[in-house]
Amino acid sequence: MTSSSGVVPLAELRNIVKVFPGVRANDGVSFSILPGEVHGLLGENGAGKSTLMSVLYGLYQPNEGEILRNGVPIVIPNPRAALRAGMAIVQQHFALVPTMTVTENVILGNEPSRIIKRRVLGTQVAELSQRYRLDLDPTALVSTLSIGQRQRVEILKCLYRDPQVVIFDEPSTVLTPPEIEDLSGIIRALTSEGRGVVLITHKLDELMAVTDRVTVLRHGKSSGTVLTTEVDGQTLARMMVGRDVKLRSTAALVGLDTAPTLEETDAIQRRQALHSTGAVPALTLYNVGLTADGVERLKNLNLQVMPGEIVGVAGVEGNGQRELVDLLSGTSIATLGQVLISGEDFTRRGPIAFATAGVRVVTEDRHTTGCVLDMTVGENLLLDRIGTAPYSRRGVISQTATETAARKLIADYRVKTPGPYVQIRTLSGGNQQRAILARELSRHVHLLVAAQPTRGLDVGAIEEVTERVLAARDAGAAVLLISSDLAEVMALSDRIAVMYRGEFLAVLDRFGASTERVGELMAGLVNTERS
Amino acid sequence: MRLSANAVRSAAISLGGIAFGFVIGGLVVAIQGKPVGASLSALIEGSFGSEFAVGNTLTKAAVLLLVACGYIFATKGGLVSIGAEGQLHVGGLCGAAAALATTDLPSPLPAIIGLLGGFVGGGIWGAIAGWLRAKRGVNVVISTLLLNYIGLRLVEFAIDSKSLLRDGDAEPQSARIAQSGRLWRLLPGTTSTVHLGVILAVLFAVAIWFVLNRTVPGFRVRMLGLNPAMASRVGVSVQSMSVRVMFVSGGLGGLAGCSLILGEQFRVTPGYGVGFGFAGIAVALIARANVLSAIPASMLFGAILAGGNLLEAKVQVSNALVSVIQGSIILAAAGTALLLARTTRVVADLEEAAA
Repeated sequence: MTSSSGVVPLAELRNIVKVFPGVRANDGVSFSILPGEVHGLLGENGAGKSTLMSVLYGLYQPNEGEILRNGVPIVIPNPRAALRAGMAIVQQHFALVPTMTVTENVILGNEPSRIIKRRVLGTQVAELSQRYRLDLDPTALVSTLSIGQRQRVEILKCLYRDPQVVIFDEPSTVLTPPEIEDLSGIIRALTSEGRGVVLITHKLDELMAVTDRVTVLRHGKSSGTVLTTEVDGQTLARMMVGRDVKLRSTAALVGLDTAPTLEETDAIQRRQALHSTGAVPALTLYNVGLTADGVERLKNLNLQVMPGEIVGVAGVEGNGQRELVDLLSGTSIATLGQVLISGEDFTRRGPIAFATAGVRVVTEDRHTTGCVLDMTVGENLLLDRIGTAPYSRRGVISQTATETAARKLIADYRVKTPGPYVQIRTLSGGNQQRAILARELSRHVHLLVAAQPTRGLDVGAIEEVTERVLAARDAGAAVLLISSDLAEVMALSDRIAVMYRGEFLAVLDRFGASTERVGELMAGLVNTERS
Repeated sequence: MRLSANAVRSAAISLGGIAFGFVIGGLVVAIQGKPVGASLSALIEGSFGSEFAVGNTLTKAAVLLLVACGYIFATKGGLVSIGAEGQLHVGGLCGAAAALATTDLPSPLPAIIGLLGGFVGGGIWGAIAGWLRAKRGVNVVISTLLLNYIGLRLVEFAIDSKSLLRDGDAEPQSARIAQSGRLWRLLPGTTSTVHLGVILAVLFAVAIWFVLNRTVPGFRVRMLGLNPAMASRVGVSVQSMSVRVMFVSGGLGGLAGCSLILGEQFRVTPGYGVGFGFAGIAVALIARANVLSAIPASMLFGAILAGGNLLEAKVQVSNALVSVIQGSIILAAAGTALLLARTTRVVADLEEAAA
């Protein structure tokens, strides 16, 4: 797949095969990076994108295939060698020391001499920051920076080593829409100097906006490399998923632009009208505030969710979503205001009371608050009801009743598992999530609180999870959908609350909420009113 | 498939550790210039060579098994309790006090009351650590360790004070427990001292297995140990559950003390069971936190303890060799387990990154 124009690629991977026990993560993949281009690497979770880049970055050694740098075959035994060869990666998960300054973080591990000339280095870092419009104060402590700024420190760390190839691994997942815009600008500044950029993502809209070429991976194999100008989003989606994307909301999730149809508009309006019927809201938050360890985590939350509607809570992670979910699970208690379930005061009730009232919670972190990883799939499916008949009698668990119930849930929710007796740890993320949904949705659902329910899943699983949530709504459940994925919130919600620093900056009508407006609010920009 | 592979690996680790312990023990004997073969046969003779030796092995194993069950139970609830030493001594003391106080009741009653008293006494000693953890967040490893010292002193205080359990003016010790308060000898008329405690220990091991794996409270204990955040989400109170788990764990330690006092020694003396608490934890480690595996593991350690007595008499090898063998076994088994856990985690990470 080298270019036909005769330009020697900065780096090239040829027929890479990487095998892990039980899985061919890369199966004969070729990939090249030309000077001055942005090459997108697209694929679902688990398609092999990260593995391929880890091979280029020296983290893994390929089982077959070769790596060329400027047309010369090389071996990259470790990430340090990759850096020396002029290739750097901006990781999805930051590796920064919060108690150090920007400059210190940038030079960490790459100190030019034993004696650190703070002022000289500070100037260097400031220059780099200016040149790429990163807008960072070299003397600021990393702990005082926002997530977006921290990512720019990571970028700065890379650029300090003056790499020819820069790899961005899912850079937009933690950013607000305005920050994503800025990132595109930074990427263009890099390529204008002749550097090559690899952008790993599963978002089509980002790819269409900044890349020159796109390589699509599916199940470890390349489904082809195309010029961005010669394809449309639908084609890329098909290359990525292997079939047409079914749901409008899923299409939105992978970045395809979709507007609601007339029918959908009608349905949304009907649901919004629920508020004027005088029915009792399933959930009411009244001036809710939460202060923990002297820090105000939530403040002045006011919201009503009616049975049969989906209210989306949009916001960048870490703005109080976790605390809100804890309140609605009954595992923490609001320090101010009231939480009402069907009009009844639940402010000081515990988890059992919430569960009994039909509040089902799908938490954002399925490994710590969604399941018990070292228990079996069957045990995890029945965690919440094991103490009741027929699953147990007089405290003794019935092996037959639990096995029957577990097998039924596994079948109904299409959890792919060798059986109920394997540890849930061994399942894929999508199947763990199916199991959690099976547990939460298989009892009466009055209010469903779903936090980041589709994160990290492949398109097939996302569609299933989304269908389950919509089915719960159609069956009359109130749904509070908490997501940092703006596209998901926009596609599924009837109304949208935007959460920023523990507050709802606005609760918008689906039709009064443009993606731009919600994006700005997510970034905390309240006063840039435009119509 | 996966489970049985795990079981095989667990067994291999334990058996490998045991073999390693004996090899090291043999080396130590050889370095001292003593006969290795004769030492081993002395060890075996001391543990299985006679009616008396077998009885000795079994009664020691019973004490170790009860302690191991208590340790494992707490571990399943996510609490690392090294307080068996204190719980055992306090439990035995309370058992003796209860049996002595009711000594005039008809025959099996004082023994039963003694066992109950021992369970409750040890349980309270364990629950203190649980309570400190629940209310104040005190690390259970530290609180149980310190409670060991307090427990031993408490025993000494009780048998040193006339107003409490001290009997006579000679040595600080309690009165002798009458026949009615003793655990039945299983083979009366022989030299074997094997008593009801052996059967009780095995019954308790099976019962603990059943509770942990087949009942709702046991399910909650395991959930608490594996993921407290999830447990509290389904309504398990982490605080009160921690106290209860530590009560049961300590109670089993207390029963171990009763097995010593009501089954073999019949009176409380200073430090009457020193060492059993920690050896019992060793049994739990070699059993890889499985109560059923703890049954054979406790037999092995009981045999080593019982056989150690003959080492000195027959081949002039110090009884301390027993500790060397025990220590090497633990080191090998725990070390290998740790190493394996680390490598499997690395492999799992790779698989996850690839998937």
